[in-house]
Amino acid sequence: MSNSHSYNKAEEIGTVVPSKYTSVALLGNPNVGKTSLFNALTGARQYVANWPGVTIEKRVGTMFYGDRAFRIIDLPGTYTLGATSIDEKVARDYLIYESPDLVVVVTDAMNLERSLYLLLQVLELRGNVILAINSIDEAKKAGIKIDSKELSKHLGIPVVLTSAFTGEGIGNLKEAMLKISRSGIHVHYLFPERIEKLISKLSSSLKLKKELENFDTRWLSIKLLERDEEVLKLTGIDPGADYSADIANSRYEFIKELLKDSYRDSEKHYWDLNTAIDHVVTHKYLGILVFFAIMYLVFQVTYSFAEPFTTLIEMGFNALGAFVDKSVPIPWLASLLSDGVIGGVGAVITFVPSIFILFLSLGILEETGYLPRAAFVIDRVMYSMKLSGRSFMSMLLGFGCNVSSIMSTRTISEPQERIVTILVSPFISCSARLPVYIMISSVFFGKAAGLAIFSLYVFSVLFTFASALLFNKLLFKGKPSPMIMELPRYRKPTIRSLMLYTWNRGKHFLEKAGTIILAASIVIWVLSYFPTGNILTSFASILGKSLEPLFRPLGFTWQMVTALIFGGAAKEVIVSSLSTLYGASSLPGNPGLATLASQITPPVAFGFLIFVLLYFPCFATIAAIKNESGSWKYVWITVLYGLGIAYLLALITRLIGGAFL
Amino acid sequence: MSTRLVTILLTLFATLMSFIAINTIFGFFLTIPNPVFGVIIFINALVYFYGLLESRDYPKRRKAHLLIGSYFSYLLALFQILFVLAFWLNGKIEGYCNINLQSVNFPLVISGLIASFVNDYVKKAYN
Ligand SMILES: Nc1nc2c(ncn2[C@@H]2O[C@H](COP(=O)(O)OP(=O)(O)OP(=O)(O)O)[C@@H](O)[C@H]2O)c(=O)[nH]1
Ligand SMILES: [Mg+2]
Repeated sequence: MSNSHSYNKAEEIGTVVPSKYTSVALLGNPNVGKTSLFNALTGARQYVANWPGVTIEKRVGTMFYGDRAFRIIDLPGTYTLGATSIDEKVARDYLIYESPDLVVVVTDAMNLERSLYLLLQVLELRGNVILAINSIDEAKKAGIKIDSKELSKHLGIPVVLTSAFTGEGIGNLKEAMLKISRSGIHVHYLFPERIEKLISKLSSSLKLKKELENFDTRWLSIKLLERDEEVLKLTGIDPGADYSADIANSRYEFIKELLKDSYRDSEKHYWDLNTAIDHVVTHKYLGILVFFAIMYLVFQVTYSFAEPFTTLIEMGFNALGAFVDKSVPIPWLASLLSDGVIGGVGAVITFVPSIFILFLSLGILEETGYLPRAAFVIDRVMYSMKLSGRSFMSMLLGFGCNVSSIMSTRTISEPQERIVTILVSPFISCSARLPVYIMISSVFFGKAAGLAIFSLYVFSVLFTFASALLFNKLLFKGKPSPMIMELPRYRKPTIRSLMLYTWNRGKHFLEKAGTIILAASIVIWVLSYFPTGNILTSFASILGKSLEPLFRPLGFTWQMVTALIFGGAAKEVIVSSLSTLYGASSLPGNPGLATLASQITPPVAFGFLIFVLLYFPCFATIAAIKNESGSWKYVWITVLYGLGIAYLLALITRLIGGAFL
Repeated sequence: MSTRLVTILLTLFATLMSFIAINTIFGFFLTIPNPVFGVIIFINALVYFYGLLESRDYPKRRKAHLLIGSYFSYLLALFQILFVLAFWLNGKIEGYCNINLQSVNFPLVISGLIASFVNDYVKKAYN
């Protein structure tokens, strides 16, 4: 959600900036720290995490330095300029078709050799390139020595050592940008003679084509020799043989030469802490168990550690509600404020500690670099469901918000696998469902509440898997793409970055409380106050009671049915609706939340939670499914499927539970 | 750190955590029964066990298990402490005392603290 949101904002900025801005693209391999540098340069707070493929759309920010204004563009990471997935294509297309004034190629000091490959490809394409070697703090610690002057001499472009962590070299980077924006440079490095000859032959024939005058002919020739499909189509020339292996080899040769004098690796790299940790946590069987244990701890922490804070906030809101009730003289206004607004929004705000702790835990998993490991471990299991671990990673992100999980599927290169992942994403239990679980569980399951919540999470994962298998069988007969994901090195997250992460994600929850949830709470109050001022004869009750027969087999009360309907706006609204419909102290006819426990049995309550987990996703998620899958058909499939199964499983839960309890 | 010491520590912790796991599942001694958490503790024991299964020709692999296992035990103890603290605090706010000696699970907490020293020691060997 927050993704698409800030993207729009960025775009807006993009359209109003005058052309005197110098545009600077940040390009580099995934996970090298482009977004971190972007944040450091522009003061923005974009999403940063320790796994490849975090950024999926381009982001724009501004920076003022010297007498210049820069427009900085953060791009998704890419290994080559021959893109395969949607996010990589964003980077490639931006570079080729929008041709920014400057390009900063960001590389990873710990992995310099590999990341320089992209630099060479960029140098083939254009001039005005700066090389930023990031994470220099880590390299220094590891005993790696990099001579930036030597590198700069050989490459002919400015080379800056930076650390987005400590801020080292950021000033130098700005200085280099300023300098190039004034003068500009263009360098070429040469391929072996055989290839150079072919290049110049192709170049001269390309120069004759008028429609290609915007492109660099040398670059087009190289791409033709590599048989880049887009360029083959663009130029309409077929050079015959495929030279891509030769060209790649000569790039590697060049890099080797380049690093000979300027890069000194430390000896002690081999079986380091990283390898040791990975040896255990990516172990064939142990890895899965460890993952399970971590998940248990995360959700237990979310529930238990937040409890005292939750209690405090609850007491605060109760006191506030009572105060308003007493001090506002107009009865209907007092009721609106204390039962509608304070009761409804307050019921949701109560769960802020849980939500923030959940995000903090997810942040730790993401920032340490554990997340892709979990995907790696599950990859084998996933393969039997014709999905890859990469899809699983998207699903894991769904524990925060289903929308971000759906957005992150852009990095999945296999289209069918991507669609299936999008379709099942809503079944991962997002943070917005958590308040509902906690509210109901603490009424019905007492000490076992934590366990009930954890089992819902486990169920949500299993159900998502099963659905993926089913969709794959029914809709596609595709093969999974093998999971090719670089495992990032482990990092100790800083307090600052964790705070930033938690705030960035949690803020969204607060925004919802102030907008959608507030609005829904008021609507619910109006519906339960009018026309008679008695809940039992209100519009809300008419609405709920008219649908209640449909849910009678499940044992839901009309209040629960009404809450479910409004839950489409956002799942937290279920909490605020229930608390108004049951708890509105000044509305006659309200039964009080405690009576819920006497109206329905624990199995019905658990069935309700399963229903909440699976029935239609919130509007934001539906919009994301539509946008990312490109078709309403898929929205219908997942919504109807979810509703049907939700009903069925809630019924089964009630029957089985009723038989045993 | 000698291979022998690693083996001894692995054996020791594997046994210790298995006992604590069983104890937590059934609630025999100084703990209330908590089956799921017991299973999680048992997973921790398995990390050590699998270390013992690694061939003696790869001492580094065995050491890796000790490293992760001890960190895991430490985390579990930390979790338990915070858990009890939060529980106590909540009772305090609502105005009653809801913990006793049983709820702390001292065996787990103490082993976890010992594990944290082991972890420090093993980690040093890597830097
Ligand atoms: N130690 C250290 N860590 C860094 C530095 N820069 C970035 N990181 C960490 O590296 C990880 C990746 O950073 P991002 O900024 O998300 O990388 P990115 O290149 O934007 O990644 P994608 O968007 O996935 O392509 C995060 O965990 C950062 O905290 C640095 O200079 N030093
Ligand atoms: Mg990024």
